[in-house]
Amino acid sequence: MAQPVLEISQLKLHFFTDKGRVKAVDGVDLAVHEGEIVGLVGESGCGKSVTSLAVMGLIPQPPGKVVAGTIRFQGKDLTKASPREMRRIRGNEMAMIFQEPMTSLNPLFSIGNQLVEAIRTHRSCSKQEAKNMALEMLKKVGISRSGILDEYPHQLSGGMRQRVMIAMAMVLNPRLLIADEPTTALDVTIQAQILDLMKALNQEFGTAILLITHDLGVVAEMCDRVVVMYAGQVVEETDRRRLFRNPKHPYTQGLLKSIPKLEEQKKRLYSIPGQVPNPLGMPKGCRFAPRCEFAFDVCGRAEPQLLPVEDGHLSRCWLHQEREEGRGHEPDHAIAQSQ
Amino acid sequence: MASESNMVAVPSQNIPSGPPLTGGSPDKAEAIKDFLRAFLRHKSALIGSIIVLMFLLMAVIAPLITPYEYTERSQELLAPPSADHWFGTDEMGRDLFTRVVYGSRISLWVGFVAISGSIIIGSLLGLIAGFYGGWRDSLISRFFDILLAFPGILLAIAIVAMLGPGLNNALIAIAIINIPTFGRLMRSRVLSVKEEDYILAARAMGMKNSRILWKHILPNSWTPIMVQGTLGFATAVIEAAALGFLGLGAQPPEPEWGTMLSDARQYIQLAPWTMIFPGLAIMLTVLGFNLLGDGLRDLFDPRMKR
Repeated sequence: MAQPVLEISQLKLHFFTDKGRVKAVDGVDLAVHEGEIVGLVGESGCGKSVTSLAVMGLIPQPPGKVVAGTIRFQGKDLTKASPREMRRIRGNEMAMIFQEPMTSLNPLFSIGNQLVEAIRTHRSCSKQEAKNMALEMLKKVGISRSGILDEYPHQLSGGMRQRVMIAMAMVLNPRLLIADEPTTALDVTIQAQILDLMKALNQEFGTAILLITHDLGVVAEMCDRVVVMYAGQVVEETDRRRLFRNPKHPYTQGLLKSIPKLEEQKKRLYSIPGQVPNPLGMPKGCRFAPRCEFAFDVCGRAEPQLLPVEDGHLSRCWLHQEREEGRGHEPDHAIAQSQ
Repeated sequence: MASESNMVAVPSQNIPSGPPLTGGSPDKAEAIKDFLRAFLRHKSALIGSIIVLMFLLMAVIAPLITPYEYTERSQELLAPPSADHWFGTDEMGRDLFTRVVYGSRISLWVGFVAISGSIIIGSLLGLIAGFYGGWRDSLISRFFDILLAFPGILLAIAIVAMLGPGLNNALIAIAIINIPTFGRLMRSRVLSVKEEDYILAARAMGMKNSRILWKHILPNSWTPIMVQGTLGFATAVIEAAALGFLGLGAQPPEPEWGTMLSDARQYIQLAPWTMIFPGLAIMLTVLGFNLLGDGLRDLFDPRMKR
């Protein structure tokens, strides 16, 4: 494949709070290629939203700070871009939609006003041209009545507002769309419509999509590749097929097991024991070890690396790394690194 | 800019989703109608606005409804109310009704200009403090704290003493002492509005800070300022009268209510009407603005919607 649209490598983004340093994103690698839909999965607080906001340059600094790593967007390192350059890229080459369509539009201005504003932030064109562009884009997201431009956000349902948000994000034909849980706040039937819409736009415009979600059902529906995050780190990365057929990391396995299945008549739904570690005091060694049913002595002492298990399938777990280097043998370099 | 004629009507039968919606663009007129209906139903807002409108009308058509000039003297000094002099005359034989009516011009003018000044400066400072935070916030907030550390009227007296007595200087003093009220209100509004999702969305769209401030934050923050402004108007009227009473505001022969009270106080037993009518005028104006302000606060509160 060609050069990725977005390539995050070894990104470390920490928040410096009064209580100490919160390592919200701690060495994340991620790539999104042209026309691809990549899912970024994990439970609340694992750093997936922070990663996406960091890409957009929307993390308030301070308290946040990119400590290490690069975010390359179309070859350009965004961690070194000036605020002015970031503004030019945001909304233009890279757009974002959010979880809450109900509150993502300014209640005081009409839909048309806000879309025109979005267009004219980046393109020098007349209001009329911008209006025409807006109408055309709204038609593509399935709103074809002409009165829509004069309507106000409170007149629209959540699904319609998310369509408007998508139209606003896509109207300048960005290369990358970051969707932060775009369907979480919507009804299930509307969810499916919005996902279909995003997929259709992805195919029509070739826009790469980074889809952030905690819903594996959405992943199954949408994504080409999936990145699973846990406690600020990527724990597994693979394509959609292999994620569901043959998950490697115990955390991913746990996530998949905790989806209710129709055919099984279990009394209780499986849940991963324990809790997400406190971001101020990450456990030594593997961050998932305290909750992992396969954990053994190495796990508590040294941090595993994100290494390929097979071609195009990466996992951050001693179970797989041990196998390569001989069972029972402790990899010294990893221990050295963690100290 | 709504509903331009060259927008092509698109047949609307192929809408794939979305529930039926309430109306199209006539909604704005509908909203105004709703507001008016609620306004008329709200007793204190209605009474307040009637009083305010009455004084406003009095101020505008003062020359038409007053039989004398406000400096014109008659032979009758301290005459009680009569058919010739509805409110009686003062110690110089001037018609009190005329002077009270002209006084409403001064009071409303002072209230309007002083409060407008406070709102503009206070909101601007509050906007900057709330939006940018950091050292700007510390600087501006400490400035507000310093202003608030003095009792308002004392500070006003000090300012007028510095600038010299007179209506315009009283006006400046009143504007200054009311700055922190609006500044702190605006700051707190901005602090909450800037966390709204649509602000993040606007940033994600690549909008500049200045644009976000004017387009998104200010319009969503100014409703409480409007309510506070109405209430502040009442305070300003009292403060102007107080400064006038102390001889620091409007100077004779200006028919300022506070100045009139001050001139009349030696005759309080001999000719009580010289105090009653200007005092009543102050009280009614203040009451009117307070009722209106309270009413507006209720009407703008979404929880009060029926």
